[in-house]
Amino acid sequence: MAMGAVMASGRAARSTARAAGRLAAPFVRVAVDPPLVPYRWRPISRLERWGRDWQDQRGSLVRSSVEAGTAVAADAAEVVLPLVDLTPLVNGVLDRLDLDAIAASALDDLDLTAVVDQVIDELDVGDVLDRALGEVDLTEVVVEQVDLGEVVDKALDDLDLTQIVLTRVDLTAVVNAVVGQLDLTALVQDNVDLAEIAEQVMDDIDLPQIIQESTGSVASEAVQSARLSSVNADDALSRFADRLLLRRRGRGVQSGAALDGELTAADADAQTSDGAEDRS
Amino acid sequence: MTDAELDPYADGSLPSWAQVVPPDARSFQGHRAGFITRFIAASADFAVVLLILGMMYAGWAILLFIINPGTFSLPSVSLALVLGAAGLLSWLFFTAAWATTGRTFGAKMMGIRVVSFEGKVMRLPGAAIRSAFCLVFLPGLFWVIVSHQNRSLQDTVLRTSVIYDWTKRAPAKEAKSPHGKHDESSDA
Repeated sequence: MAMGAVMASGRAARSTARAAGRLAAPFVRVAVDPPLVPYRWRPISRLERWGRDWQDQRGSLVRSSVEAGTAVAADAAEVVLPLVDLTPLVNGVLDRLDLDAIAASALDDLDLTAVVDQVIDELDVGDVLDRALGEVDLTEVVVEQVDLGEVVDKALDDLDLTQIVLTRVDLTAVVNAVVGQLDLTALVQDNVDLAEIAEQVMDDIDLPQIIQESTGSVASEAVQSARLSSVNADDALSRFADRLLLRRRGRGVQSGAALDGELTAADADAQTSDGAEDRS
Repeated sequence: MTDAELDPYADGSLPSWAQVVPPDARSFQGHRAGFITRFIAASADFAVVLLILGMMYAGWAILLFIINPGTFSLPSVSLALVLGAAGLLSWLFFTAAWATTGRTFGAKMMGIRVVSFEGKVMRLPGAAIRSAFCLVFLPGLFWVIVSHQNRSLQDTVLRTSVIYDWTKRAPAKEAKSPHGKHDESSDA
């Protein structure tokens, strides 16, 4: 109700003023710009000159006013600030402020990316880094401040070096390069006793046995065993017979030369004597 | 006669044929075989001959059954026929074996080989003669027991040898050269 009355009274005052203005306007116009009076004597000429002067001097006047205000404020601050404990005042202000909301609002309004881009564009990063690095001995800083052993241990724990080497290193190329730079033949000849190794290998492996097994020249081990038993029985029987016959010399059973196709004189002699003995 | 003369490989240098022989058998490789080994080999050979005879008899019986199943009865054979067939089969069997590889089935099983006086595989006539001699006088094998050189009666007469030979490769065939014949005839 009161607001309605105030608004109604406002509207009435405005319409009254408008009506009064309309009535007073012709008189004011004649008074300010009277006809039949030289222009320089008219009041309007003085008013227009004042307006132009104001426009010309407004900037300097505003500046001088601000400077004067600032000086006064500074002086006042120098006088007042020592007398005032600002901490509770600022705390009270901060308590009343919703800093999170203000920050959020500011961040919403700011295009941080653009700001950063602009900063980067305007910064000579290289120059900044050069100056920073020129003033800092990074090696000394790292050596003094960093536990390098722990860093290396941690890095090695986290890394699977074997897998990294296997996947990232062209081992074939590395080996080829190493082998290409080495004279393996000379190395082996200088450092390895090939004759001894060959002798040892020949001792360790029974080459004739391997050849025999690979060619299947002799039957299985069972057959070999039977043959050996039979040969031993042959020997035993021969010795027994020789003992009965009072022979002192062993039997002349060698015929290896004959196997090679050569009948030695010794074998021929043995055969001849045997034949004579047998016939007798 | 020294040991070195008896054994040309006493210095440790093995001939090529001995390189494929197992270590246990190298000491007697090429030596003349004893009685036991040869007797076992001969027994195995006669067993094979008997097996073949039995198979021939069975084959004959089956043939008769197929021809006349109605009046079939097992064919009767006389002892003379059996001995004749066994002798003929054995003669062919031994001759073929000694003239080709120098070893029969039993000889292969026991690791022995029949070679001529040259140490080579016998030629067909020699093999045939030796085969016939062995069959006619079987006890000749027992002469190995008393022979100074482990030779049977047949070996002594025909100058052949039965040697331990565990290799697979057969020695060279006996040459037909007049030189060999001359030696044989002169020695005989």
